[in-house]
Amino acid sequence: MAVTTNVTESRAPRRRTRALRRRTALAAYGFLLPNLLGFLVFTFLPVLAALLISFTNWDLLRPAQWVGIANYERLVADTTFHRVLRNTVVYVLGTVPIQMGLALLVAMALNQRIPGRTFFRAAYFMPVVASTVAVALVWRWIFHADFGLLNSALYLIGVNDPPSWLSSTRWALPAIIIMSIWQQVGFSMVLFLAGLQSVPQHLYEAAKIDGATSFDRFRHITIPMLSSTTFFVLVISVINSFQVFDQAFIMTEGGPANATNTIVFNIYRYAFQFFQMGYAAAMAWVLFALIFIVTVVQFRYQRQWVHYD
Amino acid sequence: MIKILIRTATILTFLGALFAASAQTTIVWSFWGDPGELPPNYEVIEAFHAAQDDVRVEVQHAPWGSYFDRIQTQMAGGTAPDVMFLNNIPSYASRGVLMPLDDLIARDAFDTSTYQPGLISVFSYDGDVYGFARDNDTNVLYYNADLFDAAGLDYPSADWDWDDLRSAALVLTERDAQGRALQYGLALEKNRYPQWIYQNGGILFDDPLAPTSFHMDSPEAIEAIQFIADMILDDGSVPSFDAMAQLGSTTELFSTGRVAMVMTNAARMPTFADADFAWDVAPLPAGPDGERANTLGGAGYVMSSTSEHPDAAWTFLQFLAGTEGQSIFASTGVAVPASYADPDVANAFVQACTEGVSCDVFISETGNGRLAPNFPDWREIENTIVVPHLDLIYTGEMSAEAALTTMAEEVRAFMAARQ
Repeated sequence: MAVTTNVTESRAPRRRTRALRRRTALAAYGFLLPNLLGFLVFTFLPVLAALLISFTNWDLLRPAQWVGIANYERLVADTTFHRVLRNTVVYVLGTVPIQMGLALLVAMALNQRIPGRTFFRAAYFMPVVASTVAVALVWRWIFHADFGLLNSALYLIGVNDPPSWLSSTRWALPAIIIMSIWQQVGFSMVLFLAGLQSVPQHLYEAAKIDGATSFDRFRHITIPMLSSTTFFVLVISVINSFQVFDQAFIMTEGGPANATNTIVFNIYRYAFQFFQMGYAAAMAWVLFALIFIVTVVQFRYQRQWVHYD
Repeated sequence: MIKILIRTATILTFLGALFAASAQTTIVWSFWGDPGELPPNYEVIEAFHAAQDDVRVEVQHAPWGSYFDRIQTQMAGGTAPDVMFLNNIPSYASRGVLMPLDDLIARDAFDTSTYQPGLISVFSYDGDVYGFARDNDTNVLYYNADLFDAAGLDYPSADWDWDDLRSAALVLTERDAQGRALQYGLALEKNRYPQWIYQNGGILFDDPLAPTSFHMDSPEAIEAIQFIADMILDDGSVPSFDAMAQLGSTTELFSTGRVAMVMTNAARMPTFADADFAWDVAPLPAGPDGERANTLGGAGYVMSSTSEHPDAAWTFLQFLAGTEGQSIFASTGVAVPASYADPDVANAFVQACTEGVSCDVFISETGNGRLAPNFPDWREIENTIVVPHLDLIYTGEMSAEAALTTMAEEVRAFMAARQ
């Protein structure tokens, strides 16, 4: 009996809740609309158009002709594209972990009450806001085989045969990775700093009272409490790194001998230097698929290590 | 009555002026360039407007970085400028966006005989002429006379060959205790390899404009490329191309006195004019068998195939490419005129050229210009196959023979696949 009353009584409020929810949803969609429209017109439709273009031989000037999967077949056989894919993956693997590790270290150091903290935070963040073109030009001098800052320093500490960096097929990609790490650490550092500051202090105090060492506190409080930040930084860094372009474009033009050619630089060349929009669009879709899969995998596995509380 | 007459006359004059104004055709002329390069363009328009009343020219200017995106978008939309400054003519001509000029040239008996014949070919596609080069990218050998004096060497002369160049470059190279070069003998530009192959009696393709076979694996070509690599790797007298790009360019190296000789074009003269040492120019050294060759090419003027005023555009193009227009550009003293055989034009260049410099060398060297490959697929072949293999030679990872052999296989496979 009591149960039935409860049901009849709750029916009216539920209807009201539903109406309210619908109104809230409408308002939310209203607020989302401008951004959504922008996304639709400037991102989604071009991406869709690129998919269509990738099945044509469009050259920017003449009407496109449908060529089916010919562009994708060509990609499978294109040894330069294989090289470019490998370079990009090496770049991502070389940049992301080191960059994130350094960013976390710097963030922890700058989370302490040390003198000049604000200055250091700004200094580490500076490369992020500096123009990549200017930064790349400076690094070109730093990496100069004979007169560069880096090799002069290496000579001083007794390395008599330092690598010729950008002039070497073996060291050019590592050189670009080094520069990118330097450039990106600041961005991740700021995110880690924000994450660190939201870790409740009482957890550390409690752990200290229980006798946890500073390493224990790092391992069992900082790392898990930062995991949602770490996840965000990881996803963003991986996506950005897959899209590396400026460094290769300005520092080496993809050379020597394709040693620093990346997927996006290769897309640029085919699209705007060789007028092969269809082929370039096919490469762009391979890149999209690659990033999509890697990101989906990251989201799938986050449950095992990311804590949202 | 008189008042009415005057009034009517005034109105008629006014209408007449209006009518005359509307009979003028306005065309659009597009070009790129840094602010410093633009004055002669406006000078040409002024002279053209002063010379006739029928055609008025409107300017569409964009910097190099964004020029081509814009032009290509306009071409795709059928709204390209009537007259365009452009390079890579075959890429565009093969896509039908440029106007073939042969009929117009024949109709108005426009004199093309003063042009370097090769430059007419550069602006042709499939047997039709599509435009006229503004200037030629003629290379000469610039040398720092003070450094030659200090080393006790004779200045480069017209009878130098490769061996003279190589031995002088070696003497002029100076190193520190660690073996790093403080001063190089000679600086080269990476994209000039065709002229070296030509000087050694080799070729790249059977026909640089409509190729059917590739020959960069011939003994002559291999020897030429290996010669460059040896100067970089064995002699150390030439900075590696990547190392040089990192320092800036041939211009910086030469004007700071860190290289004794450089092979480059006339555009560097204003920069070198400020140098605090004596310098001059000499012809490019001949190959081992006395063969001479120079670079041929440069950007120039074409007409859009979708122009609504082809006659007006052609009137302006004739002015640009004729004696007057060419003289205005030549009188900047930095652009070696394409119609170098026109004495007025050649004279305009030599007169305007940096004082004390043997500028007639630019004119005579233009005659040695040889066509580099220029066909629609060339940029792709060069960037994806040729340059990566040359890189491996210049870094010492492969011999010229090995790298050029695999390069040739790949280029042949590419050409076979495209046929």
